[in-house]
Amino acid sequence: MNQEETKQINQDRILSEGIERELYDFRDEETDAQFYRMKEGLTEEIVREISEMKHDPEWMLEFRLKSLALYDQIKMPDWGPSIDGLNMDNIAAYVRSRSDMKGSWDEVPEDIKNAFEKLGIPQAERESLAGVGAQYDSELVYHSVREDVAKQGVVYTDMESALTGEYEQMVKDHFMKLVPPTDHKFAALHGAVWSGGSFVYVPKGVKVEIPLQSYFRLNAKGAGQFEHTLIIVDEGADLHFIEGCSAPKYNIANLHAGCVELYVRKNARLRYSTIENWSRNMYNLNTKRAIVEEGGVIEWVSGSFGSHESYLYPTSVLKGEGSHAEFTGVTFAGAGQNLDTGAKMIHIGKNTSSFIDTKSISKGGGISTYRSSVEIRKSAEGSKASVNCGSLMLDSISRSDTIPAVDVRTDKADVGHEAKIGRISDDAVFYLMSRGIPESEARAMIVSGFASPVSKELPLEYAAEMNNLIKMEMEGG
Amino acid sequence: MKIAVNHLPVLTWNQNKLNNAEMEVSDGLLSSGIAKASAVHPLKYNLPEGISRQDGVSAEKLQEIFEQLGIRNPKEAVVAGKFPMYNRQRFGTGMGKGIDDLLKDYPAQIFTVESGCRSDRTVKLHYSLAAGKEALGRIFIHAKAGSESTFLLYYSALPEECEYLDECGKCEIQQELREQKLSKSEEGSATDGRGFVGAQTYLYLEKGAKVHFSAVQMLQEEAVFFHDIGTFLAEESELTMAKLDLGAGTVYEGLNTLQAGDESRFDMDFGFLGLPGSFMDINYNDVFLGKKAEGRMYFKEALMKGAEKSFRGTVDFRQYSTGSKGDEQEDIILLGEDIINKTIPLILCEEEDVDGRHAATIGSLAEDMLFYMQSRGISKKKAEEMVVRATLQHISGMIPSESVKKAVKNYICRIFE
Repeated sequence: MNQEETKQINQDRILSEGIERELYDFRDEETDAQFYRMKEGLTEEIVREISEMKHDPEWMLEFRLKSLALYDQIKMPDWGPSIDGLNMDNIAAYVRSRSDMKGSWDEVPEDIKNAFEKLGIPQAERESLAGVGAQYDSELVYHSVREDVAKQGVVYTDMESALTGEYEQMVKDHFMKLVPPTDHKFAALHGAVWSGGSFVYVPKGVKVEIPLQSYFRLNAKGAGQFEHTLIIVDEGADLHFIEGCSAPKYNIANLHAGCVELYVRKNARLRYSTIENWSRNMYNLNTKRAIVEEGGVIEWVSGSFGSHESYLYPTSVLKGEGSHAEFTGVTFAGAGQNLDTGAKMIHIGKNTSSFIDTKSISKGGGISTYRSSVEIRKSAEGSKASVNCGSLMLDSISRSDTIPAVDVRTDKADVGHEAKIGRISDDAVFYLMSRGIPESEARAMIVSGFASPVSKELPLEYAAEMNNLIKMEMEGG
Repeated sequence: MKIAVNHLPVLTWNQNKLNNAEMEVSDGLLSSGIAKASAVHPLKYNLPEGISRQDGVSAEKLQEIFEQLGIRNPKEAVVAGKFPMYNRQRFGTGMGKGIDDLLKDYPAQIFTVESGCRSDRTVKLHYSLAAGKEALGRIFIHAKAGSESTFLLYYSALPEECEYLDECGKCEIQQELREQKLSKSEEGSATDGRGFVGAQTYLYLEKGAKVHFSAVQMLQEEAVFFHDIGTFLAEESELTMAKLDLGAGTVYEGLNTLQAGDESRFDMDFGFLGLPGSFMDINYNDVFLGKKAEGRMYFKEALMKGAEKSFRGTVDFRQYSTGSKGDEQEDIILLGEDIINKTIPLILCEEEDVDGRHAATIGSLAEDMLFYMQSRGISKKKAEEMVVRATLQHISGMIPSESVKKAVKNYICRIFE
């Protein structure tokens, strides 16, 4: 049986099985005895306290304070979904378990371990991953990398260890150089209060055959998660990194303002996959950026299902000649959600190429916006870019907008763009129903098919999870 | 003074510099009593039967007429980042309220096409601008129920003495004008001899009315030109539009089409030649309110060395516009270095049962095609001319005047001389 057939069988299984709605929405009460919670708000005192608790080197404290000053100066965005409901005075920027990070699941505190067990992370690690990082609230509680991968010289560790250990200089040389705190208000916020996240270094020529994964769980109520992911894939190396995130639902706002910086060296390849399923009270204001050198390849695969409001536009800076970027994404906006997602491609090097393929689905009053920018600079002669975005409206109380910008500064470039919007074909539903498939299931199957360009790019287990999420959304979950 | 125009219906990243444009209007333009300027006015009216004209309609009176006709931009979904452009004007236009304000003291001409009038003759409005002059004007075309009419607006640099449009398209006259322009521009004027032409056109189509509307602009290369259009389509009405912008070094174009009635149709073809070092800013919106409405906007553009162009094109499906179809396509050929081409084609949608598409292609003349042509003795310049001609031919073929078609052909020929 080939992989496609296996995937199809798995999808069919998921579509036929009952849906465990509490899969992502369970929550655990956090007590003072088990958790340290910093007071809500954003002040210099709070920033200094975070820095002290994390044993930052002096330069990092200075960096945090400069970022805080920038945060106070930079205006809120005047475009995109409203974030009026977000008040930093009500957000605790730092919440951590009183337990230290562990290298074995057995040592992780029982309640936290149970949370990750429910999410299937330890099982996934055993079956299909080369390493796992698990973050609970503001800090990692578990980090591990397979011995054979570590022996290849692959570094996969938490940011705090990287910052205070032998990789400090490497971190210093790269940390927020790609996403400077001047970039926008929430990049500045991240620079001031970041905590947690992972550091990955893949040495020259090393090809990591199976993926690494970081999973982020924000359990605390009224809290922010500001993890920083820094990945350097050196010359000729190859890595697939998977990121997952979820949170239980509360009736007050939570905030996620993470930052991902990816350095893809000459002829290296990095695939960065994300399945995001934050709860519906989350403001997801995340920033992701990659810089790609000569002949390098960055591939983004992104599934956005959760959060109350999202601003998410992974950016690829194609600096080196012949570098290439791909972005494949699906966004499903249900009731109460306003998901503003897309991608940015910046072509600087000659003969660079990029491809964007996205699918947006709106249902139950949800608002889905595809927003992108393709920039081909004067220096990027011989470059090619293609953008393809499709939107599906599942009812007339929802909204779907497509806002793609293209900026070309050289005559020696070729750019193509196409977008379509439509509804589920009545004929297709009728055809499936005439073969005994109930209407709701038929519609779910059609939506899964619409999103298949993304699911087929994911490892089997994650494709199955994505289809599971689609079915949950289609049933109003 | 700078006027904010061509607002993108939904704001996006400010660094793209596409949320709006700023049009510079010289103080001299506003204070020089331009209403008296005779440079922009139809030189020859020869109206077909069933079509009448009313001159000197004040801005206030025009608004009253809009109100009596029940023209009102509809409320829309509140979406963060959505610029409140539609509801700021009673009769929405593409360039927006800034142009209403600029033209608040300028009288309009109203052309009324009576019910049932089906004229196969074109109403030709020829606007010629002497070099370095400035002029503004407004037109309201009211096509009553069941009528069919054809209008052509022709903006050229031809001398005012020309009375008959059909005699104006000769290459020799263009040459004569060019010499005249050069000598005049040395004298200077309120806009440093560049020349400024601004026009606002409203088209209101009642039930079942059909209008074929064309506009061709071939002003001096130094001139500034803007054309701000608003259209309102009632049920079963049809508007076909062909537009060509070939001259003027600085161009602003805006259009807002409100497909208010069920089963209305809008078909638009736009051709643009970006002269060396020229600037163009476009904002075209097609808003669907009625059911089973169909709209199509196709843009064909060629940008020469140093040309800069920003394009905003929006297909906007409002709630209850069930069964509607919107299509927008932009094809751009890049013919020189140092160009800046910005494009942002939007689809906004709050209705499930619609079918929307937009597409854009941006590229240069393929090297293998160029090589093929050069190997057969065709120079690069000639090959480019052929490409531009081919790009714009479809649209120039829609112009309802043989003389203007000929003038277009000669103009392109002269550009590549």
